[in-house]
Amino acid sequence: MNRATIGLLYRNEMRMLLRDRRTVVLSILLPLLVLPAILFGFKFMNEWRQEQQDTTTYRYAVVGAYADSVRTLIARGELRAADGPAENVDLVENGDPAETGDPAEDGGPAGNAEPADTGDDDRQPASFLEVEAAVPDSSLASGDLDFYLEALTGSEADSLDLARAAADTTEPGDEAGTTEPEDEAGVVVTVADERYPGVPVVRVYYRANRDDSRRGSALLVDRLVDARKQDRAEALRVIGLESDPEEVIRLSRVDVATPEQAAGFYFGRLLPLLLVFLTLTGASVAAMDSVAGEKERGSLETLLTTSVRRIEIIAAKQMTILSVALFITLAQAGNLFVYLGLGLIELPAELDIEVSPVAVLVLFVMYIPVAIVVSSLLLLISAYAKTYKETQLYLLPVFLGLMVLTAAGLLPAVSLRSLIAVVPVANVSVAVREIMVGHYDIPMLLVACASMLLAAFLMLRWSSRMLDKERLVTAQDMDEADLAGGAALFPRRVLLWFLGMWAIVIIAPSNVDALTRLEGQWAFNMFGIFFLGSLLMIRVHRLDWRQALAIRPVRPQVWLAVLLLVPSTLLTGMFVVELSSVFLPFPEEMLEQFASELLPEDFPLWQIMLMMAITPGIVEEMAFRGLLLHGLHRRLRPVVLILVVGVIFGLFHQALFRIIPTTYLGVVITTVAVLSGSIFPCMLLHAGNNAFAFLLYRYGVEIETWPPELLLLNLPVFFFALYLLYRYRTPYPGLLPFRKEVREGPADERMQP
Amino acid sequence: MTTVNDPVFVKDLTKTYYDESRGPVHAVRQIGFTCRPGEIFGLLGANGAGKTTTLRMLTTILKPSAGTAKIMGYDVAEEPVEVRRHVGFYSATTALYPRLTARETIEFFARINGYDASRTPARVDELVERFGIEEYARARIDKLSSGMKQKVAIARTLAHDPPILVFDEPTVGLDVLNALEMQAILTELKAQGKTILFSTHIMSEAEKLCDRIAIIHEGRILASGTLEALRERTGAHYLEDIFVSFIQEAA
Repeated sequence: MNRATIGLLYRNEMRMLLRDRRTVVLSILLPLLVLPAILFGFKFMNEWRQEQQDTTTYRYAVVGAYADSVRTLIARGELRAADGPAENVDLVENGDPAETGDPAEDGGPAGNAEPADTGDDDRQPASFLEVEAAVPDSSLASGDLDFYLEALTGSEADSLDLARAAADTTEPGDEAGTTEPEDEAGVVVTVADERYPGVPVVRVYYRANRDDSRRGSALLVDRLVDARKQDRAEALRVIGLESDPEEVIRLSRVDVATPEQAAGFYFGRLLPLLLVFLTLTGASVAAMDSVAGEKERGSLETLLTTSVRRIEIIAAKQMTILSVALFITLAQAGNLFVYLGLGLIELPAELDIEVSPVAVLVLFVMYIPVAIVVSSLLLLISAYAKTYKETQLYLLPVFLGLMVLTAAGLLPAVSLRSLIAVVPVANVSVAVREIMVGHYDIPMLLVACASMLLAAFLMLRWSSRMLDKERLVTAQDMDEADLAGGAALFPRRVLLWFLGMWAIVIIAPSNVDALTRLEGQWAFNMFGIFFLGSLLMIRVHRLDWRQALAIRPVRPQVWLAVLLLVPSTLLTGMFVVELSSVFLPFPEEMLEQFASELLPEDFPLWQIMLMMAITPGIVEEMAFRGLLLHGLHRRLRPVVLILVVGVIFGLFHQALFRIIPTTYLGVVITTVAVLSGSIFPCMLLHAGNNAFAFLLYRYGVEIETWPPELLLLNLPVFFFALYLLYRYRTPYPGLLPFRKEVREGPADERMQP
Repeated sequence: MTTVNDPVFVKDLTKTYYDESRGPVHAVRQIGFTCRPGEIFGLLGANGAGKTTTLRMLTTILKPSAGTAKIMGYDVAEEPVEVRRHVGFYSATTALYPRLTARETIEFFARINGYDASRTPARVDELVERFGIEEYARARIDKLSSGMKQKVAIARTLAHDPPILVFDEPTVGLDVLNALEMQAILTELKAQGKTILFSTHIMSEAEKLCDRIAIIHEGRILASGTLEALRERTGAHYLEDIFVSFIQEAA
């Protein structure tokens, strides 16, 4: 390699990038400005909210025979609130919902795993104004009132309860005096739970769809609770009980973390997401322009006819994209230091983080391999895709995949001192979170760095190889399929079809009410996505349905192999689940909740079997071992084909903890498809596996408790079944050979030096 | 008479691709020809005949599956960098960098093709003057008209002063005046002693410019020689009839 030539090429690439407005905005300005913009935004929002809180006067009314007593109670509560803020020690109160206030209203960061200041809410300054309201419901609806209190004497409340019991028209929860929905927006809150006869009742009516109504009512309830506690203590003192019976043991939580550490804990979770997102956004623009853009414009071919070596072009392009990625990383590190380290902006407490120069340096070093991985990955995609547009399509799943890995920092209780240290990108995400709270686990940081560097090296090599292939040039010519469309185009479009289906499967349930129910989601996925999607692919691409769905006869020995695989795949899968839990531990309760939602007790067995075993066995197999396999079988070598189809099958199973076991199942079923050449054994295996799993669950058989030897004994059965399949194989027609040399006229021949 | 010392020497050159939807594609099958010093040699064929693939192999963009090709004595498979140093490649489908100026473009291609750095500015001035692009030499390429871009592209091809020029369908997409100008430039370059290999599917162009012609069809060369020789072999006068005659014969 000639360094002068690489320098010439690199300078030319950078010159062109810097002349592109889009690159300048997304790769330079955005990374420079996003962090300060977020910080300023937080600061502004915090100040604005504080101002709102200080200046807002909550208007309320009190109605009912017990109103005067309530007014007195409010006055006492207000007096105590004016005493000033509490110390940083929180009392654990009883479970009355009103007493803890509305967590969403807290000034602290959302999602605090160790809430520090719930007790502060009842001391927050607030201004209340009682107003007259003839018809309080109307005034509340019109906004004249923020909330109102209905105060019933003990006898009134007793009469009301009796009347309700007689009418027996209310829900059980109402009788206990807990909550009752008033309409879509309003909620009734009662201060008391289990009410003894003769005890007065105060109901606070507010509208959850209005901030002032929610916040004001919560704050007033806090004051009432406070005053009630005082009354209770006084009543007990009068009868000679000096201590509160609810506080036989005084409970308290003391947060010994510094405010900076607490802030770092939250910011450290967001930082990797922000950084990876910006790197992806900025570097992808550069990568698309540098390779896909050049291909599309035709200037790449011009460059390839010059006397520079291919490796020099590749090196210059790698350096260009890497420069952009590194600039973005550096800009973020600089921003961190300037805005947080030097405290350039006066930030609210939740963002007031101590960032030392050492922390910034460590973060930057940690992100260098991330920048290499991201830039190589982007180059790889850009080199593989034929056009700019195609690159954008391929970028979407890569974006999602990287963001999922980066989200590892959000997982609770995952520390770098686990196997996550060797998972690229995810390890950096967790490491950043730890660094931001001042925890430097040097050995594990080194492991994470080594793992990232290895990933970066592999990605560099992979992207270099892709850029070095003739396909880079010839892919532009092979447009016959594009023009002809139909079946010839299907291999190139099949991944886009599944990407679209995947997006719908992920997005639809959270946006369509009907799909939140099990039956709705099942029907939608099975028939709306997989069945209809399969039919559409066959129709749009004019595919031969027998070939596309692998409708082929099967040798009898294959059925025997599949029958053996049904239980053995499930049992072998237990190992995979155990193994995956080392990387991604999920709480047992979460798994049990999922299982109970998936397999409701009130569903008869036949319905569960139909929904969860037979239908997926048929419909999902049509999609995955039918069309997906058909579309990819001439593009990927068999081993890669099996893995890719398996992974895509796994990714459709949404929940993170299901991806690994279902990918494993997908790999086994695809192996059956590849060896038998037919979809029918796949359908039997899929349905059988699901049915077996559900039967075990329904009848309470816990495989996890079985002795490991028993599970190990299953392995010979599993491998014998695979051997049978191989021995009596009728391979999927048209598969590529296992090894490259056998194929005539390789498409991915390397370019001339 | 063909000789391995000719500027362009091709023997049994073959290229086979593998296409996902079509399987193996035999783009070029055992073709052979030579270009002599200072001549214009034309590859005449319909779209998809294998012209571009042949020229891409000769300019080392693609690697031959079999056979031999030498440019100025350098083997395209063994010494690709030397081959490219001696070739200037122009194609209607290749393009320039839109965000560079005309001057920057010529300078960049001269430098990366190994043209001496100290002589580059003078070379750029010479080409800018020769092609009459002084007025817009400092304008970005994306601001130029297609005729202007064509001139810059030719200047870029000649930037390192290569002895062999390869033109792949150079007049495709050009209007009549620009096409005529391109033909004039080819004639002028020939007069300067350059060896020119060019492909076209336009019969009149081949008839007018080429010293010798090879008719290529479905990856095979059906015939090659001077226009007179081809006339004698087929008995037809016009190149169009000669072309059809060979295609029919091959069918």
